[in-house]
Amino acid sequence: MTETERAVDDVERAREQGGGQGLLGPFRRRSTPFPRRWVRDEFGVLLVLGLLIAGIGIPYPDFLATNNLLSTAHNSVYISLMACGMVFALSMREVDLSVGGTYAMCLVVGALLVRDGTPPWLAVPVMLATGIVLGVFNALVTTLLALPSFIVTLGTLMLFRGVGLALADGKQITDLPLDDSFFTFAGGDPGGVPFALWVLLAVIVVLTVVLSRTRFGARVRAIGSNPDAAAFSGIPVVRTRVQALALSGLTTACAAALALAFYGAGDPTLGQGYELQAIAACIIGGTPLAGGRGSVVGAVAGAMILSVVASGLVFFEVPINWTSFATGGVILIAVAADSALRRTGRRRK
Amino acid sequence: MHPRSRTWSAALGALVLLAAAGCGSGGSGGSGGRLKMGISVANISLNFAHEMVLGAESAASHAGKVDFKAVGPPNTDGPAEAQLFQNLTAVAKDGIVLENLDPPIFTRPAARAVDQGIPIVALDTSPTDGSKVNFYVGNDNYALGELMAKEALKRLGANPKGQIVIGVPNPGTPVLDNRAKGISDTFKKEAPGVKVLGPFQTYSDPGQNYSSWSAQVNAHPDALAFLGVGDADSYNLAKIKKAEHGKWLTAGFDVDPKTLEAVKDGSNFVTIDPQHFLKGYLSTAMLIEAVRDKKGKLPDGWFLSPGGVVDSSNIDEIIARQKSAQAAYDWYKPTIDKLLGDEAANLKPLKDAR
Repeated sequence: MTETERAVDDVERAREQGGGQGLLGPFRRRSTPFPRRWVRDEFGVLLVLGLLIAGIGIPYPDFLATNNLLSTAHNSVYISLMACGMVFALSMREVDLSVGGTYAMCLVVGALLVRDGTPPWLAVPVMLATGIVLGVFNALVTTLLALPSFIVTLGTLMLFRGVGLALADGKQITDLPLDDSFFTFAGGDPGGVPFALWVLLAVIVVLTVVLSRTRFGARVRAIGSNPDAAAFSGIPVVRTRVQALALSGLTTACAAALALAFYGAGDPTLGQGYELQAIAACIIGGTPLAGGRGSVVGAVAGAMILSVVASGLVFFEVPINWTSFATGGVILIAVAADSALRRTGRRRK
Repeated sequence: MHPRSRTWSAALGALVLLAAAGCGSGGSGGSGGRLKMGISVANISLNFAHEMVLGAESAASHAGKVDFKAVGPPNTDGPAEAQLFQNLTAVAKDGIVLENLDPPIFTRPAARAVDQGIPIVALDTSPTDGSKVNFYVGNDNYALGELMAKEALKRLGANPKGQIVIGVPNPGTPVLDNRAKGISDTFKKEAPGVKVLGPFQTYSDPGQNYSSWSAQVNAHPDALAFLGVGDADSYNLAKIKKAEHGKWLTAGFDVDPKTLEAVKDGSNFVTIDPQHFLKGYLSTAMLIEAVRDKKGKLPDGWFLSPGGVVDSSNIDEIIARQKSAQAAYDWYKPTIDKLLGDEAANLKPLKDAR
C-alpha cells in the first residue's frame, strides 16, 4: 500500500466512522506499529548525530562537557523549532521561506510590547498569534494568487523582515526588564537544562504525534504524496495548506519568544539565512522536497547536526578562514552517511 | 562483504578519519604552564576582524606558551558568534577576548563565562550591564567620527552648503553609532549650512553594502559627501564614485586593501584607521599579563586605544605596514611599548566609553 493509498484509506475510514469517533478519533492507532516505523526512519540520522558527537568528543573530551553539550543543543533550538514546522510544509510539497522574517518580526513585536510596559509573559501569546497570522497570510496569498509557496514566501520573507525593521526603527530594542521571571526562568536553566530545550522536547513530542497519528498529519502526507489524488478524494487541500503554514508560523514564533527570553533584546536583523538552515535540517532529517512524508525527530536531529558541526570545529585546529569549508565538508559527509543508511534500509524492505 | 556491512564500514570509516584528523593536532595544550586562550570576532570575512585576530595572535606569540584559538562566523551573525563563543569557553579556559557587533545578546553568555572563572576582555564594543565584564579595550569612536568630519570639512571649503549622507552598516551597534554621531554633531556645529541625511543602514555584507550605497547615491546625486562608518562602506563608496565619475567626497573606516587603494588613487579622500591590529594586540597582551602576573585580575575600566587618519600623506607607509603581521607589529611597536608601559594613564571609567 503506498503512502497515498494509506492516507486516503485513513480518511475514508474516518469518514465512515463519522460521529462515532469521539474526541480521540484523529488519534486512533494506525495499522503499522508506531515504534518500529519511528526507529527505522530516524535511526540513520540519529546514528550520524551520535557518531559526530563521538567523533569530536573522543579526541576532545572537553566537547562532551555538560555545559558545552547543553549550550550547543540550546543554540540549535531556534532552527530546530523552525524545522519542526517546516516539516509539515515540505511534507505537502510547500516551502516556507519566510521563517527568517517571521522570526525577526515576532522578536521585534515581543520586545516592543515588553519595552512599552506589557508584562513579558503576556507578550508571548501575542508573539505566537503574530506567527500564526503571518503563516495564514502566506497560505492565503499562495492560494489566492495561485502561485507556488516558494515564490510567495520568498517575498514575505523580505516583507516580514521589513516590517520588523520598520517597527524597530532599524535598531536593537534594549532596556528590557531582565530581572522579570520571563527572562530569568524562560531564558534560564531550570533543573540545569535550558528552558528552551524543555520546550523543544515538548514540541517534538506533540508534532510527531500530530504528523503521524492525526487526520491533519495524514492529510498533509497524502497531499504531498499525490496532490491530485488527494484533491479528487475530497481532502481539503486549501484548508490543510493554511493549517500547515500557520503551524510553521507558530513554531517560528515560539523560537522567537525563546530567543527574546534568552538574549534579552529584540534585534530586527537576527534570523538571516535561518530559512535555508531550517530546510537543510529537514532534508538532512529525512523529509524530502518531493513531499509525501516527513520526520519531526529527524528534522531536529538535522538541526542538531548543523549545530554540532559548527561547534565542533572550535575544538579542531581548523584555521579560522577554513571553517566554512570544513563545515560544508562535514555536513556533506554526514548527509552522505545518512543517505547510505536510508538506501540500505529501503533495500531491506 | 554484505552491502549493509559496507555501508556501516563506510560511515564508521568517515568518522574515524575525521577523528584522526583532529587527533594529530588537538588536545596537546595545557601542559607545562601553557595558557589556553582565544578571541571571538563578529565576522571573519571582514578586514577589521581579521586585523584584530592578527594583533591578538601576534601578542600571544610574543608572550609565548599560549595556545590561542580564534573563532568567528563567516558573516555577521550575532547568535552564530554567541554559539562559537560559548564553545570557545570550553577550550580557552584561561581567558577570552570578545569582540562583537551585537552586544545585548552577549550579555548572558559573557556573564556565564565570567561565572565559570574565565577572564573576559571586551574588545572594540563596550560591554553591556549584566555581562559582568568590566574591562574594555576600544577607541573613542565619537572622536574618530569627529576626525572624519573635520577631514571632510577641510576639503569642502569655507561655509559649505548642501547635503551629506551618513551610512552605518549595523545600526544599534554602539561603536558604529558613536562614529556616526561624531560625524553628524561636528557637521551641525561647524557647518550649519550642510544638511546631514541619515544615518541610513548600509549593511556589513559587501554585496548588500554596495547596493545600499548605490541607492543612496542615486537618491542624492548632488550631495557634497557620502560618509560611511564601516569597513565595506569605504571600498564600495570608492567603487561607486569611480563608476559614476562622482564629484562628491567619499570615505569610510578601516584599512582593507581595497580601501587603501582607493585612498592612494584619490577616490576616497581619507580612511579613518581605528588601528584594529593594535587593539587586538593590546587586549590580548593585557589579558595574558593579568592571568600570568595578577592571578587573572583584569583592570576595571576602558583602556583607550588610539586611531588615526590615513590620507595621501601617509598612504604608502600604511600600505607597507599592512603587508604582514610582522610589519604591522614593527610599525606599532613604539605605540605598544608606550601604552603598555603605563597602562593606568590610558585607563578611563567604563561608563565614559563611547
